[in-house]
Amino acid sequence: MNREFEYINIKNELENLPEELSYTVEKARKRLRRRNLINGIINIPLIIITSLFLVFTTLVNLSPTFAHAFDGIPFLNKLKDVFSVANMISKVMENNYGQEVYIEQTQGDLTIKINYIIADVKQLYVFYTLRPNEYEQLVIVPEFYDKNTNEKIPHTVDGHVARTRFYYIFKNEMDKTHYISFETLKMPVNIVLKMKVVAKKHGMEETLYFSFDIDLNSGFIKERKKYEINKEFELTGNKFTLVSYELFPTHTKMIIKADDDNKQSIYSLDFYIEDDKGNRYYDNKKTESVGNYTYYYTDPAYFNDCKELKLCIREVIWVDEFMPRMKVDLKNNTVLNKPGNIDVLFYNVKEGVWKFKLTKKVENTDSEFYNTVNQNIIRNGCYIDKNDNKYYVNFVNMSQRFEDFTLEGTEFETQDYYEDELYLEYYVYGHNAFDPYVVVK
Amino acid sequence: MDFHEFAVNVEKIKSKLYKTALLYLSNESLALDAVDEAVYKGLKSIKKLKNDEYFNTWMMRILINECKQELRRRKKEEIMEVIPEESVEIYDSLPLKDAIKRLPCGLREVIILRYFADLTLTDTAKCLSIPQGTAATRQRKALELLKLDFLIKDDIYEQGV
Repeated sequence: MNREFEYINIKNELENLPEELSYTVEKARKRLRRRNLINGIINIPLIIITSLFLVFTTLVNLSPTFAHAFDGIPFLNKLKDVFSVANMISKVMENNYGQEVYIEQTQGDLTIKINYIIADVKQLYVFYTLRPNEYEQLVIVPEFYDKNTNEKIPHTVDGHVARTRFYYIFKNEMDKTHYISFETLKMPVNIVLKMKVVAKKHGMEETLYFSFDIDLNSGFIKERKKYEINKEFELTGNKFTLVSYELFPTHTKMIIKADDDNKQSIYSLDFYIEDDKGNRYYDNKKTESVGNYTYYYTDPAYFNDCKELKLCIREVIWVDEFMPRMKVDLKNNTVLNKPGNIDVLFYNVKEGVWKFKLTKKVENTDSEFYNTVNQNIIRNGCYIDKNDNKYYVNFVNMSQRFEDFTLEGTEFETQDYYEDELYLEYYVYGHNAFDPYVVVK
Repeated sequence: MDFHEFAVNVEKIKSKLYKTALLYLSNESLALDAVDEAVYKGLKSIKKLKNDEYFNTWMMRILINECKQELRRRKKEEIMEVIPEESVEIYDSLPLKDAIKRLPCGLREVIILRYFADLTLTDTAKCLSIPQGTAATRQRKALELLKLDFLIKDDIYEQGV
């Protein structure tokens, strides 16, 4: 090959820009906004930046036969050209781990076509396209049933929080490929996916019901690889234990336990996992908490043959103990103060159960609100009051009314006791959305 | 420059930033990381940029610093053996990509910015904080070593020399 051809080839290679490049400004803005906000609100330093390189060695070699195990299955390489999702999907695609199906159904003026499926023992991705005609907005509520038992498959995160997910699709996004992500304890092979679709057209709403039979290829559902680590580490005097690390084809999961005696709680952890070849797997911002345990998820390292993984924590932001506090007196049914203009429109006390409806007026109806609520209310699913009683969020429901966003139906269940007060703490996250973070105290 | 203008300007040069980072670091994840970090730092200190006209070279400089920092961290500079100048024929025998990697740092930077990020000679010099004459000399030297003669001709033609 002569130099001119080589030069042209390199230039052409460089034209393959990664999808993530599109989000670089937005990522920077969010990062900066978060810092500005916290720096601006409080006087004492709250961001403690900690760098830690924690190396743990695990045997993550894949079975050498694994890569060839799916030779007979139609692969999905072309999928990565069709839509843009996170790194994890493209990695799965590159390794030919997926199932191509074509199931189509029409209800009303809406046609849903399922094209591809990616599944492992705990997680399922269903990719679909729409022919929406004149619909302006769709709200999709998926439910999964075991075809053999007709029972609903619980959407769980390690058996703790079952949550209903809503997928909002606005007009400008209808021509794209969409996906539903579903997690459960053990994935059945034969599934029925029921989709309730609330479709809006010319200001009118109609509800459409779809039902798809999905037979997963059992070859795709592989057992996860779990590594017990149990290694302690410290972040500015607070003790944590890296409990375990699990590899799935669709993601990885890291469990970190906070010590009971810690004086601070982690608000967010910016980290990545690096393998021995320098590949990095980033925190995909999905986090779940149950008590002292927090589950952190990253893009999958499953398909890369490596002997060692390194956890690099780039930044820790601690919960601000001095954040404006919403104080709700449940005994007298009164709200004592409402920071961040967040209103409690409704709360109801039943035997050991409180219900809240929290509202905040926002200007833009974008998905940021839902993401923020999803990531912050639900992931911190356990609240502890001043007497160390624990409360768990059982169900979170969201609805949209024009420019008002409402979070409702958050239930805090006590066990055998009744408390006078429940402390919730909030701060305003930007001006278009709120971040009702509740401190674990 | 407000956020919107910043976003628009980054949009225009993001592919150049990425290509430059990729050639510096030879790794897609690291390149993306470097671009993210550079954009974040740029946004954080945008008020320090007195003249918007220099936005592109200013951003490129931040990116190059990020790349160099990453290289230092990974100590790739030490691992990569730089071929002494007298062994020029070795460059000829290497694939172009490897030959570029093995160029002395000063020459490599000029080549990356000029011929892969498509910067002008003037902007290349500004990004690297070197006189334009030095940039031209390094460019010529690098092209000769890499046997990219057709680019030398193009370059002379383009500049009307």
